[in-house]
Amino acid sequence: MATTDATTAGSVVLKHANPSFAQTWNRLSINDVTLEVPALPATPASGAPAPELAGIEMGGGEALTGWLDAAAASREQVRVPADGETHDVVIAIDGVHAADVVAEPGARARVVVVAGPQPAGSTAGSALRILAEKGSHVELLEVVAAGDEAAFAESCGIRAAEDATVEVRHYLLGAATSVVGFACDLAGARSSLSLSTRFLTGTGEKTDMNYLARMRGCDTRCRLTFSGVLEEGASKRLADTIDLVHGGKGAKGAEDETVLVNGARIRNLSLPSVLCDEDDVEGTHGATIGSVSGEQLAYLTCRGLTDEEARELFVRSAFDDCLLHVPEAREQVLGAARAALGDEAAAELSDEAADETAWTRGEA
Amino acid sequence: MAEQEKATRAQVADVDRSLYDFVKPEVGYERFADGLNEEVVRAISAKKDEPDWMLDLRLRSLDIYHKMDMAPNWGPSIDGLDMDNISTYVSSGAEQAASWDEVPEDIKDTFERLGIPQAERSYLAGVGAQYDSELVYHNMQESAAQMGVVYSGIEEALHGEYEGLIHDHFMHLVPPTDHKFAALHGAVWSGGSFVYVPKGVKVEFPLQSYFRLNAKGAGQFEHTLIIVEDGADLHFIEGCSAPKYNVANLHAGCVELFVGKGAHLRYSTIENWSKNMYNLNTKRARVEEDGRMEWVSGSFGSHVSYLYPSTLLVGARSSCEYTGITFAGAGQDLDTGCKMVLTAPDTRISVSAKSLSKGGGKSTFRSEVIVGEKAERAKATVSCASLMLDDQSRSDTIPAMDVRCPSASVGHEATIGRISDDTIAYLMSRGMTEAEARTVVVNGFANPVSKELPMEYAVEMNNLIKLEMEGAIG
Repeated sequence: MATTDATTAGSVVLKHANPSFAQTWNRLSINDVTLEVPALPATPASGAPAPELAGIEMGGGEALTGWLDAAAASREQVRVPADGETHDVVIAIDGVHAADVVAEPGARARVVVVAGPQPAGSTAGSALRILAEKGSHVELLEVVAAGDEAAFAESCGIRAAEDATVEVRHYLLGAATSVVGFACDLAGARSSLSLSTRFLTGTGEKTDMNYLARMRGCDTRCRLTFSGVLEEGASKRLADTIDLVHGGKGAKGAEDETVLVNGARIRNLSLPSVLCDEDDVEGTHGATIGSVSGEQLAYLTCRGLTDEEARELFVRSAFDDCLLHVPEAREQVLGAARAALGDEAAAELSDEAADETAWTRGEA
Repeated sequence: MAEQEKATRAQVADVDRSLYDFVKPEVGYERFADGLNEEVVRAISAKKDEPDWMLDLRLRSLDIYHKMDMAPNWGPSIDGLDMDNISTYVSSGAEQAASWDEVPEDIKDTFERLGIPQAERSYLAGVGAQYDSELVYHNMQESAAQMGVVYSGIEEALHGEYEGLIHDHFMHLVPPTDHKFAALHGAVWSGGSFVYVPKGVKVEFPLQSYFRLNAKGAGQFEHTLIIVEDGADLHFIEGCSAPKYNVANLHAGCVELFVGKGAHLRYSTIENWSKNMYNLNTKRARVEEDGRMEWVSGSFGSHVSYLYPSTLLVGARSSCEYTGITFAGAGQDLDTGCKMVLTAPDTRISVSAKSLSKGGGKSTFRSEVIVGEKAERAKATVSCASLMLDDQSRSDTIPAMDVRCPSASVGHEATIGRISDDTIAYLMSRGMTEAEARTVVVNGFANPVSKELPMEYAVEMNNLIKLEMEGAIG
């Protein structure tokens, strides 16, 4: 199956990009996405991933990952030692970036990826591979606030060895098109993944998400939660898969999705799949899709909020959460908040964040 | 053995596969050559002396069939199905009868073993029985006929006053372009039933069609067309079985259901095809304003199944419930579920699906819920639960949702797991064997489906579960 088409304007079309791991009826257009991206440079500059990371399954699929690897201007390679400290690895996305991170046995890594405003018409992106070795702890925090005139694409793959823990927080706060593919291979016994993705898909924007937790080790755990807001004319696809692999006895996986629809002409595609090839496991999924219900609005309005303020509350909570967990992305988050909520609300968020920071430091 | 031969499927003691797995000789049968081509299609049409428009539909469908491919990226493999080895038309030569006494003895014996005449006498308003490619029996109670209800073979109806009605509905809900095997059905369909329930008529007892495929290496392609007019009410039951062969058989039937304003239709199916069967069936309903559609589905048989009853809710306040169970045992790959399309305001759907996998069987629940822009305040709930009975089997849940209306509310939940050891230990401490304990739990799991069936069919379903559970330990 062809995965790329050349176009005449210095760009290529990636077909079947970000493919969901469980496929279904093609006429639903829910299995993958077609993406137009800049043509690749004649000579890729970033080089190949480190051998120990090369085989990690990537969430964006072959077409997207191949393009990101080849388009990346450079490849950052980081080893995080186990010295009792938590090491920050901060990756600021400007264009297309590739990074390989190895958390050595027992290490603690905090990987922060921030994609701030990008030039209009550009496609920024990241190919990120993480190896969480035995007993390590990896926290991955990612903020996408590329602006409503740029596209962002990411393919991420993580492999977790025995007793490794992986915590992921994705904040997709705005881009004309955001494409995020994520795969986590819980290969080692007792390894775990806790993932929270919050997305705000603004007017006319498109968010395409594909997540996989492949539970291969015994007694592995994963918890995937997704919550987001779709504004008028927004389009979103979320394919999330828990794969309970044969032999992975005692595994438990859960996924949950909540989507608030806040405008007309939306398209909200969800494909939450649980694949099970083992009996001694538990898998659950729940999804709720809808507008703010009459009851919810009544509850909030009787506490003095207007309808609009009640809806705004849902949107603000994503920015609040992001500011709390990724202070490094403060400027980018507040910029996105200004675009989504206006200057006044963004200023309030800024003040609240400052208070929270002071409180956390014991200054208040 | 003689006692078993006399047993009927509604008796609890019937847990022997021989109830379904018996073969009658094809002496004197007419059998078209294996394979699919224009000559075969024209021969089927000529056999039925059809109107020209039907032959045109068949030929157009054949053309579409040849041009379409199966999707390469999802669904069970059908590599073991070779149309060059399938005969699309097999007939015993028996004329359709309205009395069981007129049905040839060996065919009558087949349906008696399956309990059909007894069921007809006990609680059905009418029965249609198809044997291979042709209907061999069709009858309806006089009381239903007096209310204006029509229940006949679809080919019989094509030659009477309902030809126009059939012309306006036949393969309109499931066009030949829908998928490759809908096209195949359009080309070679044979047999099936036509039901017409006039406005306001409520049929008190169910109608039933039973499909038996006896011939080795053959296909069955019956077409069921049901029109329930405004305010009318009907329960239709479909059953099917076949003996097991060591070559592939094919079932590619088609069901089209039209539910009028304020009407209600319940369509119940207990599918028990043999485990060499490729069951590529298509079922679809269209529901008008305030209409209500219910699907009750039990899938036990087949080697491979692609089965997703679909419902188009086109009228305001129309609703649909789907209650289904799939049991995949050794050698089975059953891809089942449902499709729901909501296009009108205040529409409602509720889906409750259960699946069991055992002995290396694979069960996939696949669904789609599409909520269109105009489906204001629509509500959808989808719930699916899967039970793994051993570590050799597989169970996947792949539900798709496409919501385009901001005021719609869609909820989905799925669980997958196994019977807990504590539950089995508790039941065994009360004197059950492990096998009995597991069967009790599985029957309880299936209860939401069986309680929706008439008692005799619920008993049959429980028997099928018991049959499938044999050898589940160790």
